[in-house]
Amino acid sequence: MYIANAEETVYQSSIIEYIPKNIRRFLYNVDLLKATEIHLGIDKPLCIYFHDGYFFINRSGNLTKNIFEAVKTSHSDILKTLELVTGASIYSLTDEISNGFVTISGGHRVGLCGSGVIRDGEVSYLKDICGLNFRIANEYIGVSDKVIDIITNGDTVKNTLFVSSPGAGKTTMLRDCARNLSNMGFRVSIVDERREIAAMKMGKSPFDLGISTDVLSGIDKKRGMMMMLRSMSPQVIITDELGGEEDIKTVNKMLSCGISVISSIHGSNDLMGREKIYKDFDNIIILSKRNGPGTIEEVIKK
Amino acid sequence: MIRLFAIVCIIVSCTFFGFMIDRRVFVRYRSISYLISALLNLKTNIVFSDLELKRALCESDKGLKDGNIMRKTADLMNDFSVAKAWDMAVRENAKELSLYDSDLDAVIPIGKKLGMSDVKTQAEHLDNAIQALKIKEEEAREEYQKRNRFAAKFGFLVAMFIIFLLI
Repeated sequence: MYIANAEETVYQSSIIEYIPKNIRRFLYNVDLLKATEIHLGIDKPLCIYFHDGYFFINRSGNLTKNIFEAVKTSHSDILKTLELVTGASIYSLTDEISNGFVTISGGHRVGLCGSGVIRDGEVSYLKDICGLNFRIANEYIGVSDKVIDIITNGDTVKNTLFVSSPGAGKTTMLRDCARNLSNMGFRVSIVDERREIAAMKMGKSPFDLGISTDVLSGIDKKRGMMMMLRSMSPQVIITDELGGEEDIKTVNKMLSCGISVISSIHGSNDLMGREKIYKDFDNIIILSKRNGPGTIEEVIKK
Repeated sequence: MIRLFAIVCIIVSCTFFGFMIDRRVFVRYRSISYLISALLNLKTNIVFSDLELKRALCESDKGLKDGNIMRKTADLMNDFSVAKAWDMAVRENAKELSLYDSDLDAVIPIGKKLGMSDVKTQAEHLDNAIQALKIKEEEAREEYQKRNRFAAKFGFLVAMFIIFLLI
């Protein structure tokens, strides 16, 4: 078992700017660097999750376990947060919102809860938002150092799939793999469908993705990988959260074109029943958060 | 000489007062036209250009010299919710734009739904607002034509009456 915990946390975007001012003032004392999630709900206590559990925040701005002291968020706080998160432009984020979340600068994901508005059988957007959950993204430079020898083989890159439950560091690992491989001289392309790996804003990523990594954001994996294949002639394509049949077919296509794929998938160390997905990959690396996100539990090599 | 100066002052001030009343009616008509143009621009910026609301608002009354409700709203959005920012911007400009209370009733609710739904709903919302303002614009135009500088003429007559009484 390897442990690839962060050696250095170098990036923490100011998530606080997306919290309304009247709530923000309670959070200045809190070290959000160590938080994993912030949960807000109408007339519910503001809840901050850490690796070792959750806490509320009291009116003095300190963490507490006492729910009666907790600061509560009102309906107007939720609306203001939604405005800050979406730039008051839900209409320009309907694709993301229909998936239930919005990615904000820094790669943080904000999950939304409310009533779905269905148009033509598809979720168009959410109205009457009642809860928001900030999932805080961190950059851990060097988290992939221990797996890079497993992934590479001389001047080739092995097809690798990271498997873990949510919050165990799959995306962080992919991001650092991109940095490492790019700095080693590989031509790396990222297909960032949900804008989580690179979190591009105005053509720039807040993360270190290596010297020559190309990023295509906001396009589904099938189209995105084909576009990258044709336009950027990559050696490695990195993409997040494989899911449907189409994704698997596209990965197959990439492999038959001689391009390596590094990706991730939600799951546990029980590989039964998912052979269809796993069969194309040379390495399957199972992650957990047992010793913090990025703990390498098992490496299955073919 | 002093008497002549006083007569001129009375005529000028009464006519000017009447002229200001007439101007208010004209300014209201022009302001509603400005709001319609700005909302049409906003609709274009939201539906076709897919700009973020703040930028869409800033772009919407660029080049329109009669008001700055949109830019003011974008500015206030840093500190307030969209609905509140729109409300404040409209009320701040209402006097300058000579808007009646009934006009405000049509304009202020626009801010409550700005940006917070999908493109189709935004387009419908803005279309409804534009339709409501077109009715107001027609009312303002009719009022302007009906009055046809009535207040200025009436002011002049009042001035003449005062002079007649004084003499």
